[in-house]
Amino acid sequence: MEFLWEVLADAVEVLSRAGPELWMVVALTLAVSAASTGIGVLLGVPLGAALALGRFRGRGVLRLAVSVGMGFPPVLAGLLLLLAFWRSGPLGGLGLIFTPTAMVIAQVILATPVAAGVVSGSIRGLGMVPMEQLAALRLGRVARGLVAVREARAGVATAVAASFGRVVAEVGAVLVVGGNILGETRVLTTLIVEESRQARFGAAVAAGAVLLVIALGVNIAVGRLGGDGP
Amino acid sequence: MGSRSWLTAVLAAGLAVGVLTGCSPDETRVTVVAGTTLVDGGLLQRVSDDYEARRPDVRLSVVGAPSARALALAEAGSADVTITHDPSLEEIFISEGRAELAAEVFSSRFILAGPRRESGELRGLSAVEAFGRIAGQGHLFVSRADGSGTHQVEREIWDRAGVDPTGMQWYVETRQGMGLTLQVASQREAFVLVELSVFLIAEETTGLVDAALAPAGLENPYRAIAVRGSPVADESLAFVEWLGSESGREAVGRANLELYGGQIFEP
Repeated sequence: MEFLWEVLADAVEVLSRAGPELWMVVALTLAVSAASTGIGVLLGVPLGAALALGRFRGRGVLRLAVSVGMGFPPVLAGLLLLLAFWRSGPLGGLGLIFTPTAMVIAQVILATPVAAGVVSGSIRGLGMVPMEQLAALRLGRVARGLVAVREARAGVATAVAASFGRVVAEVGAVLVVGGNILGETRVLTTLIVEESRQARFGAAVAAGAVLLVIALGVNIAVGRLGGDGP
Repeated sequence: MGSRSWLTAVLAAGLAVGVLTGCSPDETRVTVVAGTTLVDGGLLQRVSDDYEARRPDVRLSVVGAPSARALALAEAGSADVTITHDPSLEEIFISEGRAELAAEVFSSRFILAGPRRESGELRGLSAVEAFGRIAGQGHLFVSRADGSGTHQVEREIWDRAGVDPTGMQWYVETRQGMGLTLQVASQREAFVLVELSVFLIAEETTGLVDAALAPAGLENPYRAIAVRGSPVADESLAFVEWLGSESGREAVGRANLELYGGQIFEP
């Protein structure tokens, strides 16, 4: 027990004298997570609506891709991007390796299927009657999608929360493709990995507390916007 | 089966695997905390396999950590044996009476790796001269900056060159292990101080070359310490004694040959 108290006391001390080094990590965490959630939702919501409402070729394949994507191992996404962005790799010329941009790309790959899956599920969850009403409106495809998304807006809020939750807590992909470089690509999760690996448990717990506050804060905020909780 | 019985089956299977692969009670577990290079490169695993084959009653749990951290873990009672490469910290550790036995067990060396063209211009220079020139040109340099033995040697060279690189635009601190640091240096075409075995393993993928500096000041001696007060003191002592013995040296030599085809960590 004494050990745990020491770690906690350490964590409090780390937080109380937290300097720009920690805030830089927090800022990058927020920026990368927000950007990838934003892009992921912008791509995922139309995709989810199309999957729920559309009748088009390749829908089955796309649906399968979304299912696989929702459970795609993050560290594998990181590895594939690392190979792609490696200087002598196929996209090496872009110079994206070990940059925040590469981290955002990895996170978008993880977030988009989650957003699409949640939105598709909640539109289908509206049930038969709203679907028939929707069909009776004789709208164009895009307008029909917009109406459906509006009806399922609680689902969209859940999609935002779920996407953000996945990316902000994710460590494997950003570690591999970002490199966890101090002051450049270090985010809260990779900071925790590094601190615990070096047995600086107080600092690790401090970073964990900040991460928890961010994750909970966004979830609660999104829940309010969406009108109801889980 | 319903979903609940599936869950039960999975949990039971997991438990069984956990129990079966766990430590059997008649084995003594010795925690060896060693420099990340030794662990990541696989040398220590081979040597410890060799030892475990001789002593079936002993199980060595090998953990990689930067030298400073390894000694701190030993001080906190979380390591039975350390194998580190930070002579000044080891001296302090020993002078505080924390070592039951300390022995230099093998030695490798550091090289400066960098982009082909720029490395050619440094050939044959001393490390201090080369670092001075890199600083003068402001050429990118990637540092582990993690309190490892490697980082310690790097800092000493900067000191002797009269340069404080911290915070410089051209000086990137990863605060991480050698593997990732080497990757960053490779991808940014930067210079990096790296232990020879790590460099050799990654030579092809990094595209960096050995700048072939004069070897003085780039030695990398490893010291094994049996930590005083360890609950498995006898086994720890025996392992460190064996590492320094003829049979231990042979095991290190064999591991070297298998991994590198030559003696990189000279026993």
